[in-house]
Amino acid sequence: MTKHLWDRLNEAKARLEPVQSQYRVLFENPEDLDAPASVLVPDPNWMAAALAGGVLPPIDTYQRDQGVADGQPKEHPYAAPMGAMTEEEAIEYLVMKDVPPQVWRDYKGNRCIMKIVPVEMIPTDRSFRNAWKINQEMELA
Amino acid sequence: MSTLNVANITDGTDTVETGYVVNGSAKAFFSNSQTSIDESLNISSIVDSGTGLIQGFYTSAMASANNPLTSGNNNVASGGAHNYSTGFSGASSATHYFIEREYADGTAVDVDRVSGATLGGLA
Repeated sequence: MTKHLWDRLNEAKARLEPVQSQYRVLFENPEDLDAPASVLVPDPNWMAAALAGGVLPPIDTYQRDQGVADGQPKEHPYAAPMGAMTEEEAIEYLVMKDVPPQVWRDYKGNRCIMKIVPVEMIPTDRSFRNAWKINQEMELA
Repeated sequence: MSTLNVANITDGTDTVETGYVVNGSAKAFFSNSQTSIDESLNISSIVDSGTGLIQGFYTSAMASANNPLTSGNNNVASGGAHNYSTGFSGASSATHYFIEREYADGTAVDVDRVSGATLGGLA
């Protein structure tokens, strides 16, 4: 019988060293053009579990659970865990789990509204944080 | 791994039902700045959505969007003499929001650290 996801997370936290990702996900909300760009920061314990494998459920269980009403039984805590991911695959998994679908799946416009960037590219000066937008100047090969 | 399956726990004097222990333990906890996570359980990511705005995502969802969440913050490195308030809300059982505001005028501000814990049942 598969252990509950929360039990697996507890066990993984005791066993695995946290892994601070070197990447961040920058994204803009296409439904609120005035909002500043958001920055997704992967959790180091979650990243360690993703890289080790045997802890996290398949991403499609979360996607099916998004349609489940609050308080009703969900699939992802009881799903069999998947294998190890690379850091790139783990970031893609996080995008599908924690970034709104209108950003990574449904947007059809020309503006670049999501980028996966090295952490060094995130400004440390937050003086004008609420004016942050994704730079649209792309280098062409 | 062995499992104790007991209804009560006692120290010889006081006895409590194990349900108190299970239900009273934190189902997620976190200590993070606006841009990094230092200590956590059951968190997959945080999203910095602007000055003073942080959204956290649970790896294993809560039973309800109304699960109790306790939190605090400090701003020592940036001048802790000010007072800050941390508001939070659960938009769903999969996430929580923090909004940090200056106590005096309600202005959203970045604080050095937000920490908290979510209790109650799991999905």
